[in-house]
Amino acid sequence: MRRIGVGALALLLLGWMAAVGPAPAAEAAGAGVVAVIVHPQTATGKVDADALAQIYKRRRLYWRDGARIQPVNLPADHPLRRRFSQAVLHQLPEAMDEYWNEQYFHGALPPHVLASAAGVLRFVGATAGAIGYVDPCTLDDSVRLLMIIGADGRVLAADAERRAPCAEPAR
Amino acid sequence: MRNSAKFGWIARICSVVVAACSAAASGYELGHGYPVGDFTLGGYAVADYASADGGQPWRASLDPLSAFLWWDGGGRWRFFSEVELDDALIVAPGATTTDDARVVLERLHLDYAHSDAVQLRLGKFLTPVGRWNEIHAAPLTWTTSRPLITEATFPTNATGAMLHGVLPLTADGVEYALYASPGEELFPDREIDTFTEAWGLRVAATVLPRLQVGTSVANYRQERAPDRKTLWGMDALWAWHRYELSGELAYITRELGDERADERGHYLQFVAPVTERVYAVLRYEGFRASATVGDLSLYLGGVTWRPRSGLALKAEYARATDNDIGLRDGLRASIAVLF
Repeated sequence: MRRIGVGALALLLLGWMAAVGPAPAAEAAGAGVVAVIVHPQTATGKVDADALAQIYKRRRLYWRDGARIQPVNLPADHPLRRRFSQAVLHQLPEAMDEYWNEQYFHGALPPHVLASAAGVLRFVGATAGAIGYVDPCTLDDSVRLLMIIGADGRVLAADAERRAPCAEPAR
Repeated sequence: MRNSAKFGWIARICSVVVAACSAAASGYELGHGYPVGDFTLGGYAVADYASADGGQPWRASLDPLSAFLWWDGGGRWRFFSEVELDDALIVAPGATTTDDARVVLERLHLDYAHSDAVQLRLGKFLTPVGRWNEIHAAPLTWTTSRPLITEATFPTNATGAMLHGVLPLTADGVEYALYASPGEELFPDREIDTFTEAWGLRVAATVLPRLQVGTSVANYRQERAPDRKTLWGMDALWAWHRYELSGELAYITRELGDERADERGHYLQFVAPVTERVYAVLRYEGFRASATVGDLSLYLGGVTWRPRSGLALKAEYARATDNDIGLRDGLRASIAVLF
């Protein structure tokens, strides 16, 4: 009798966890590629997916040459932000609230939020040490492509051979 | 007279806060502070209630009102300060008073970053022991009460120098804080038995994708204790979606006396989402104070509602056994806001 009770309780608990727990991360990464860009003169050194996550969690503040990293975000409901957040930080922007509240208690704020991808492109192109992300079709010579987040969510370093795919380059 | 002067003083602080909030109304976001050039002004406030317990009557209080001011010019230097008004207002049966209000300097430090891995901090800072003490602000925690082991066994603040940073040894980096204090606490809080001498080290890392583990060691002397103490501590946090399991344990040995003089304690806390914004909290604490006979056990169950980021409404019920140290238990509730 007691075993049945414990089993029922465990089943109930599992059902509850399944129903309540995974909800915030349930949103699937959307289709499309994200281009991670930096100011063209930034000495970034080696930046991989983990380093990119640390930059956007403000745990890594300096580039290789000692310049301060200036990360910028798009609004939390922007599709590019959500794709970037899931691929790089492995959670949606709203799931980071507690993390940022803790950081705030220590005097650290989340990356600045710019209203549009065009604003990100302009800011990164004009600001030493800046890093942001945009739609690859909007890239121009004012910025340097650092990484590509594929449609499958994989984060890859950009090089001469690996260009951000864009069917119709921006003019 | 003394009361009215203090009320006036609190009213002035509140009016400044209200004015700042009004000025910042457009674009201001709760829990993100109010930027003034390279400075940021922020803080948090807590109003709490504790039910009658044994010989102690019920009590409600505004404690603390905390203000942060920090400067970050985008270079290698940074400055951070936190000033609290503790026991700003106490309401108890037959008495409403501000007489116990006191201003406390929680933190005041200057940081120089040589790199992400090597940063130097000088001034008064939170003692890096365990996880709770470094994020103890009520809007960030799940319960109104604080586990004994996170504050009863060591001074929560230290004045001195700290070398800290994030070492690129793992995917998420390894955080460390190595510190030393010669005593001479900056604006000491009269309710804390401060360090007269201390050194310590804390190391924390994400060892599995959802598991953070930390370890702390500290060796110190305090103003009101005759001997040197050594603290050994461990802490862990497992977070999966919105579930959380966390715990800390510490063992403090003393130079004088035998094993009975040692202190030890631990807590284990489980948090589970009930709805999108409501969480259930369960905690077990064990604690043995120096020279006491039995181990205190505390069982706590509570609910926390976070209607939005930076705002928490909490209610909890705790019951202690072998309570030789007069720890308050019963019902507690609070509202905490990060602004």
